[in-house]
Amino acid sequence: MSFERLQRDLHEAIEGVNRYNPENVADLASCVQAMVTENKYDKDIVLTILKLYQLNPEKYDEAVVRQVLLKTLMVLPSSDFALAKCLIDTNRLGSQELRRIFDLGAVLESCNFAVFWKLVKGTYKPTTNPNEPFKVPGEIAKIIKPMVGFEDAIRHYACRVISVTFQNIEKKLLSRLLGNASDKEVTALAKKFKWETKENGEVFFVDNHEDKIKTRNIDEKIQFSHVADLLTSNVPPLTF
Amino acid sequence: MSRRVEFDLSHEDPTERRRTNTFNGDEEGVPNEVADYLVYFSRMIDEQNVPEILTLYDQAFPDLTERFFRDRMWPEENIVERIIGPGNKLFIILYKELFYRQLYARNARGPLLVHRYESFMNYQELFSELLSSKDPIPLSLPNVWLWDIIDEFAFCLYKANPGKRNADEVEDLINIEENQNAWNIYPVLNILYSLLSKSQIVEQLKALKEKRNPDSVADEFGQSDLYFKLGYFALIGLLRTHVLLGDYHQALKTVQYVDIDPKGIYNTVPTCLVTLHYFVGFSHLMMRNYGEATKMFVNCLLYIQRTKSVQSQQPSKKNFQYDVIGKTWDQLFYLLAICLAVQPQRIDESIASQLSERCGERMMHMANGNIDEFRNAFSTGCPKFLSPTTVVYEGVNQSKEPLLRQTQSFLEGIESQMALPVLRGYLKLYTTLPTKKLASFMDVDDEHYDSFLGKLLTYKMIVNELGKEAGPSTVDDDEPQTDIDFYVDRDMINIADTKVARHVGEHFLRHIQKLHEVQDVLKRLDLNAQKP
Repeated sequence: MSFERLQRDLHEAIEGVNRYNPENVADLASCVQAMVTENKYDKDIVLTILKLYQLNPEKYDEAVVRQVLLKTLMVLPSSDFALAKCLIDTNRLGSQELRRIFDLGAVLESCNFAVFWKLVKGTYKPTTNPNEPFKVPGEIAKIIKPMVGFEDAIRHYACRVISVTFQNIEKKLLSRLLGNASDKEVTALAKKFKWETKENGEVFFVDNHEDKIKTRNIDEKIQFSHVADLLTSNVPPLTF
Repeated sequence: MSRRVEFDLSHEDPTERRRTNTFNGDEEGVPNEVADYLVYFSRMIDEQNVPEILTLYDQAFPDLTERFFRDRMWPEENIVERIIGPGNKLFIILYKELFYRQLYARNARGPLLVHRYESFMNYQELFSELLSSKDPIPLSLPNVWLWDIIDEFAFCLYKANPGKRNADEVEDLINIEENQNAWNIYPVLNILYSLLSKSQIVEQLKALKEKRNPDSVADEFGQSDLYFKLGYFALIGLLRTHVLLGDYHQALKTVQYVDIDPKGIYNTVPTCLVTLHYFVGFSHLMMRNYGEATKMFVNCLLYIQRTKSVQSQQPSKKNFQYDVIGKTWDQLFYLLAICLAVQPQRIDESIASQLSERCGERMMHMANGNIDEFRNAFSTGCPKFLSPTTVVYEGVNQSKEPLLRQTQSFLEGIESQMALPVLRGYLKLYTTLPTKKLASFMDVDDEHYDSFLGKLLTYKMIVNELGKEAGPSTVDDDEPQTDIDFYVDRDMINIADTKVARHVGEHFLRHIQKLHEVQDVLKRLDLNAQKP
């Protein structure tokens, strides 16, 4: 069944207290599968299935949980990933594979696109630090592969944070943050976000932040109406 | 001093006569005054006299408890039934509600399991009366009582905490667990959701928000004042339940149509107002909308501060009710400290000065990236999380497990934002600063330059609240909320800071007002009387 059909049926099925009906687990899981292959997303559905796994531990399926977590990463900067994490019990966290997705999430949540692209392209070099999260960096590329549209989703996320940070950005840097994207890809994304090219296409004008972000001093303003009561109240000084 | 409440028993009515004929209070150990109270109470319930019920509930009950039942329990239900006469099921249920809650409040370590169980069943009975009736039940209760009922009902922390149980209770608990009818999260959710649908509260609030007539979407139940209010409070009870289960999105979705404005019903019940603000703010905190969370916490603190003097004038309340507001007041400061450490903002000055008095040092540690300080503040400020599935008969206290889980997910979020306070420290010193230079300040080499840019991007992402679902917040453009902001133009960081002059006017206004009050007091003093 296609995602849209499943989504429509499920939204009726998980309305109100029925959200907690454990019999929905199977349908929800196939809907998550449909999201993965059709590059779709529905917040209520992914969070509902996690809740049901919590309430019905015997139905827990880690493969689905991993898919859900990766899907929530694809909608960054929304906080869905953080929400999903709160719905996974401690006793599940022993799993290496789950841990790996959490570590990937930490990289993305801190906008560390450089490391992300290295992981994806297989150029990441693990440090010798005992806390190094990606001792086997190749695993990340493997996890992401089945997720249709994952890299595009991250590019989109990167563009959104760039939009609020940069006034002008050099194409070289932009391309790096987007995973060494080709000129064509960069131009296409720039167009989508309405960034204008400057200087023979070497620089993009992102937004006029200069206008809004200014140094200023705010002085106190007192409106007469606020003090009128006090001024008209007639309290004579005390005399003894 | 609690004032005594006189009951007007001058009318001769049938209930009254029956009581005097068949019942002699003193023999049963029930003082006559208490018997009179119960009779009068049940009559007021029958007559739906809300103001009178409020006095009986809010003042007379704690007052009588203080005088007659300091060392023993209120009379059992069968005695009460003989006092007020038979056939008054609803009053008996309501009486038991008070009876058990008084029991809860008295035992600091919590009542016996059997009492908890019976009290839970009593709530179930009450709700099934309300929900299964063909027509709306003719009952009117004061808002505060309705809220207390919902609030107490949604509070079911017991089963994951074996530390407070004795051996017999373990056995009882096993029996109860086998029957699966108490404290399992399902019946609680079921009843709360049933209240929502019975009262059509969501549809009605939505209609109100769209300025349509709520009665147009409601049937006779929805139009009944009792059901409307129960539905309204059930929404807030559900908000709390969702948060305690770590379900923050669902929590906020539950109250999306509850307008946070001075006209909401929740304003009439202080503990309800505080609960609403605390849990909505907490959900935002967990969703990393620090700005939104800050707003909620500050508003709540301001409210408590404003009403503090009124609250403390009702000492009788303290015996009877657990001091929710006082406890939340402390917690709010810890949570606010977290929010402001991650995303500094300008807040109300009176709250800001109290905050720095209480948590100033902590906030400094947090700003320097001390994760343990965040952990401490979080575990002090957070609610008592629940685990819906863990039933533990013996051994260590498992109710801590969900707390650890939520703390951990919270800290993982903080860690990825830990560079921000350090970044702020540098940005404050400049008006323009090349990115490369900042990188070298922070000991970043060329190889990691792009990763370093991520910190700038994260900063802007947080400050702009990109994670929020709704559109851009409607912040007053004249007064930016943050004291420092920046944008990057190619490889140059341009920094803008906002300096706000101290609001001296407010300060003077407050003191002028105070002076007037003092003068008033002085004028009323008879100075000559003081002289020897």
